[in-house]
Amino acid sequence: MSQELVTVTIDGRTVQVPKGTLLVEAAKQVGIHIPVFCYHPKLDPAGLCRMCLVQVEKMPKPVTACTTPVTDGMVVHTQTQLVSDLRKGVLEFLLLNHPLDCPVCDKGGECDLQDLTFAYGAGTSRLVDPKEHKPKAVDLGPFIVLDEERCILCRRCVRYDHEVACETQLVVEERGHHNLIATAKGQPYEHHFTGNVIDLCPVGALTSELYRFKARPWDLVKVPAICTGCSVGCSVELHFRHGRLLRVIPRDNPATDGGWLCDRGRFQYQYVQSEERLTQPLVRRNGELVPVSWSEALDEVARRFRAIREQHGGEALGVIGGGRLTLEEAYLLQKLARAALGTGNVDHRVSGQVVAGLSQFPGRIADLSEADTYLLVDCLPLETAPVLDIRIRRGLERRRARLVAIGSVLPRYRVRHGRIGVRPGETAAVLRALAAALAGAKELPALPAGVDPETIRELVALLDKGQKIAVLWDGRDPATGRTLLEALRALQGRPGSRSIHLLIPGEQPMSRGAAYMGLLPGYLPGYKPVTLAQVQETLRRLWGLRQLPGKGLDTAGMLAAAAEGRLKGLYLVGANLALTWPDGDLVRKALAQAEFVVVQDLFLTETARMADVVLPAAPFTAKAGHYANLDGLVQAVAQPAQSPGGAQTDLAIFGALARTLGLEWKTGVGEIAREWQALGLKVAEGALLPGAPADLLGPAAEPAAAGTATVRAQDGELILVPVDRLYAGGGTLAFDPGMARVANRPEAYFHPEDLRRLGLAEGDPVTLSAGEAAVDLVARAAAEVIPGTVQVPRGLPQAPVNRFGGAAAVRVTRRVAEVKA
Amino acid sequence: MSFEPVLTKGIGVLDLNDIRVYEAQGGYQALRKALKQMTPDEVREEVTRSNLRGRGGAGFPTGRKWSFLPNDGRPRYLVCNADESEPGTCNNRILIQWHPHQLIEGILLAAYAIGAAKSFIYIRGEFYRGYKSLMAAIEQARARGYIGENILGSGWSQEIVVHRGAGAYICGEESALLNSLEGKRGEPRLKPPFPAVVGLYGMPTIVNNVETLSCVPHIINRGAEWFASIGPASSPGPKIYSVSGLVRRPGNYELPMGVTLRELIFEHAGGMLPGRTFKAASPGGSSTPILVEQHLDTPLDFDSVRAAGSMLGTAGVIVYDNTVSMPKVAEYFSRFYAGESCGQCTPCREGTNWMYRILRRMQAGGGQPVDLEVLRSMGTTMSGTTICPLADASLGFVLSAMKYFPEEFEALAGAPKEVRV
Ligand SMILES: Cc1cc2nc3c(=O)[nH]c(=O)nc-3n(C[C@H](O)[C@H](O)[C@H](O)COP(=O)(O)O)c2cc1C
Ligand code: SF4
Ligand code: SF4
Ligand code: SF4
Ligand code: FES
Repeated sequence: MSQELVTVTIDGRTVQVPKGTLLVEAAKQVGIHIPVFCYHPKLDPAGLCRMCLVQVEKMPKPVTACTTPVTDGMVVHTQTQLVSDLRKGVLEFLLLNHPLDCPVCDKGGECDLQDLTFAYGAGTSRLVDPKEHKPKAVDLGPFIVLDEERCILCRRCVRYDHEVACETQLVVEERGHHNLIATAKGQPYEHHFTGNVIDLCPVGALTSELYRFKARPWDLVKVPAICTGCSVGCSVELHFRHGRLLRVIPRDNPATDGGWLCDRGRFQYQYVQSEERLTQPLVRRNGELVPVSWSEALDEVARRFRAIREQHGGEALGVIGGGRLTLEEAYLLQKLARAALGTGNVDHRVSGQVVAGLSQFPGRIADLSEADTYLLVDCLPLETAPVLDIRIRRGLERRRARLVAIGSVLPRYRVRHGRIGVRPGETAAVLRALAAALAGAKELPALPAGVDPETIRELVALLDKGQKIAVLWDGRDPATGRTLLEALRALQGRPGSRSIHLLIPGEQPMSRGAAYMGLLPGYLPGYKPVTLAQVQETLRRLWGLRQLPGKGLDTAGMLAAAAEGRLKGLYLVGANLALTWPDGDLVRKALAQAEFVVVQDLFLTETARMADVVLPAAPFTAKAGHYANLDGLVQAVAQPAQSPGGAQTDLAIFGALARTLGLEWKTGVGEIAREWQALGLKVAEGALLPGAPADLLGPAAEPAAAGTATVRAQDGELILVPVDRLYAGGGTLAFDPGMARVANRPEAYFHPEDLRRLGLAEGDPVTLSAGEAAVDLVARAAAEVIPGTVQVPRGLPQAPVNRFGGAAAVRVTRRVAEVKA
Repeated sequence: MSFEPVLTKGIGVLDLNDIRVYEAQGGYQALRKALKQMTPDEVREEVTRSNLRGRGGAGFPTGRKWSFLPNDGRPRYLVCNADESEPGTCNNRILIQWHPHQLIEGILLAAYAIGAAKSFIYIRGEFYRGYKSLMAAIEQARARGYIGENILGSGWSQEIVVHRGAGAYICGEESALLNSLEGKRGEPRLKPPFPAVVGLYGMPTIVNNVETLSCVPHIINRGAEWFASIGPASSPGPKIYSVSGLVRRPGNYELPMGVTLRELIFEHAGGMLPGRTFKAASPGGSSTPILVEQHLDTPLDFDSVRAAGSMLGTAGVIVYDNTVSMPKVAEYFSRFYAGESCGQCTPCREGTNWMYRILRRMQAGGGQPVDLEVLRSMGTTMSGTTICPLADASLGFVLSAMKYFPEEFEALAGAPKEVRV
């Protein structure tokens, strides 16, 4: 929109607005409400419902305020008899065959048709004929039910599906008054962003399968919160009735969600009140986990940890977790580790991601909406941090941004984009060549087999065109991270100006915040190295310590040490390592070998089952505090929405444990804020936490060593690539009755050619095996899979891919169909 | 005054589908002339000076429309609207089926004039024979070097793509046609932007009717002055009137624009059936308000018909005599519009169907006084309130018939009986 202002007079009120402003928006600015149905500020104007017709001087016919940009000197009338008649007319038409089942409609009380009829409609209907009928309660997809009779055919849903979700699933069928909203070819309405149509629907035609008939809107208690489904941190509002969470809607935060939620964020909430939630601490007695009181459990934990510390020293204890907590809780957890347990073995990393944000090339989520070039490195934003993908899709389709994906996983977009597919471990080699080419090298370093040097040159040309370049990386392989930074520095150094914005999406909502809070070996809060004398001094005084533990082990180190019997006690907080850690065997060995394992979680997860004490934690709905998302944005939740019930918030558990250990800590949110202040950490709503130092990626390795395939496949083998899938993952999803309908099935994705070569067909049962490890899956073909590799979702409880310990060469065999009883 | 047919000359007498016959009649001479002697701008100038107005219904000056194309280097397209679906109209059909080369030559000339990268013919799906004629004619023309690369050695090239519709009236509306041609739902687009600026695949596009384009070769051959001298100066040229309904000789009549309704019906179409009298006529298809006795001397040109309160539309003249029940015809037409509304706009989607249901019930004897009030109110709520004029079109017959023959409707509406005290 241009800066030029135009003057428009609406019902005698004059206002200056930027040229191009739509009449309906200009009217808002002078406090004049023009009723609309099909218009929505986030969708392209469509002019369908004709509710917003107004009169403009010098125009022969009434015009739609939702499609008409104001022009200078325009004089508009919205209160004439004609306008009033036309509004009455549209409402009469819309209600003509409307079923008037408002008393049992979910939308009652927040329905535009009700509200506008009340404001502008006629009191009676002139329809003499019987109403015409259309299908009711149509199952559109897993989460959405459509009532065609209530539908006013404003097409917001269809337009959203095409314009925002950039899908083509929703369509209008039939002609005239037979018009129906439907899915293309009758397929279920299924993608990661379907739920948004429920909010967009101005009437009760699109309703949530999970929320239908559960409440009247005016009875709901509405509490603002932050979604903890992934690292985007979308702003949500939680709707409760009688203490039960019944619905989640967006709050439209331009810095994160932009008004859209993914279906996981919107629909995965029933776990909060799942019957399977732990409500009492459990302690292992004679091999069985039995319920005990909180004081008994905490006494046990304090006693055993103290004993290990006295016998073996603090370094025999380890603390893992924090990536799902609030900033306050993360801070307190590392304090508990360092100051109460006397160990420097702390780490929040539970899935193989090494960094969740770097200080170099800082990016913001909103940059994705302005970028003209995207570079995706080993990253599937759609599956890892879905709402980011809406911005990318829009950028590709509407702003014609360019995209190049490099890696052993490649995303799927329906517009043309560049792709360089490699085997696991080879991404760094491609980036090294890219860095060299960007730096102007004549001779490129060796490239992985199948990657043409010409492609690298084309990539350079493409990046050169970019003014604003958004880079997304999965943050897993350190060598990839180092070479990526190298390439980005080389790009920055090229002639011309550009801005580069790096984002590292991850599955844990608070990895970046936990890292900043010091849940990293070797780093105190604020990424201060433990060796820094000045910080040591401050902390010693603040925490009343004589000695601060030094740099400890990271997650891998702790697990290895535990497996070898060197590390005796483990405290796992919101960390289901048995399912999430890339090497599942190591986790099992570590947990079996450790003398004493405490797991703090909502559910009796795969990991909790192996614990000696299980402490029941409360979900995010019972918490207040601050969160930091993937771009470092701090967001506050002022009030807990629910009581923790039999469980306790992590903050309360940490405080109680400290007290049981005999420490007089004050652990309120206010006290923690004072400690942050003393440490010079700025944590408040809207603040941006810096990213981690690049040291986390380790020292630069020898060029030859980095970036070569981690595993080689023998004849007949494929290389296994674990991938993110939105609805895989044990975590809370496995315990959410509402999500069972979409939970990822145990499937392996093959390139269609490989599938054919192996003599397999879609749907065949297959076993992937390597050495001792074997996992049963169902074969699927997917064109984006790189030939020679097979993808399996991470974290599937029925088929844990971490049995293979990361990328592995696997043999694929067809299982003989099981005989059904 | 003697008038020799221009557009239909030879139809029914000669096999104009044969390119040799067409050429023997002087066919493709206009194309030759334009490519050899005229610049594209000169062709457009000639058409502008001829004062040719679009025959698709709205009567928009063709040369002026062509001048709206922005000069911004984007490819442009020409689309021939051969979707003719207006009830009572069949003048395009004979031109397509029996005179395809005249149309092709017109398309080539227009494409040359506007600098089109490609031309399209969107033909009504039901016109299967017309489609066959066109395809055969295109092949002949290609073989003779009139279509394809480097036409007649001029260095200018052109392709014509024929696309068959799938049976929707609304796809005759130019922007719905473009959507349909792109493979989308056939629904009118919001305007502005007009097709001349954002048309087929987002590119500047000219949409012209079959008859409009068929006039162009004659304008180039005989000159703008000749064309402009036929009929009234404000809307000149030869015009094919499709006369249907209760006349002795229904059919297509090519006459100078501006023939009176009386002359058309009583001289050319043979007058009313024995013993019947003239009651009314729709001058331009079912979408246009009817004309009655008092309008018989109205010249059938764009401006005169408008002055009489209707529109020339497609010049599909439907004649009703004294035996015709106007509410019955209203019911019949309203059913058509209810079925053909694309359904985007609330007033049209709901209104056309409601209108039909009311008229159907009235016809079945269930009329109520409120029905007339509802129908009249549609004159406000459905007129000029929608994306395309189909909603207005659906009112054309109904409201004008209610205006001129109120008693017929009142009789069915259970009009309140006179109350005696
Ligand atoms: C509902 C509707 C149907 C139409 N159908 C046709 C048609 O079948 N053929 C046609 O040439 N124009 C039709 N038109 C008019 C076209 O939109 C357009 O004005 C015309 O093709 C332009 O050609 P012209 O300038 O040569 O008249 C229709 C318009 C409307 C609103
Ligand atoms: S389902 Fe809702 S959003 Fe979609 S067209 Fe109908 S009323 Fe509009
Ligand atoms: S994108 Fe992430 S934060 Fe946003 S709604 Fe989905 S799961 Fe929640
Ligand atoms: S007026 Fe009728 S036919 Fe025209 S666009 Fe609107 S709904 Fe479709
Ligand atoms: S709100 Fe303007 S036409 Fe629907």
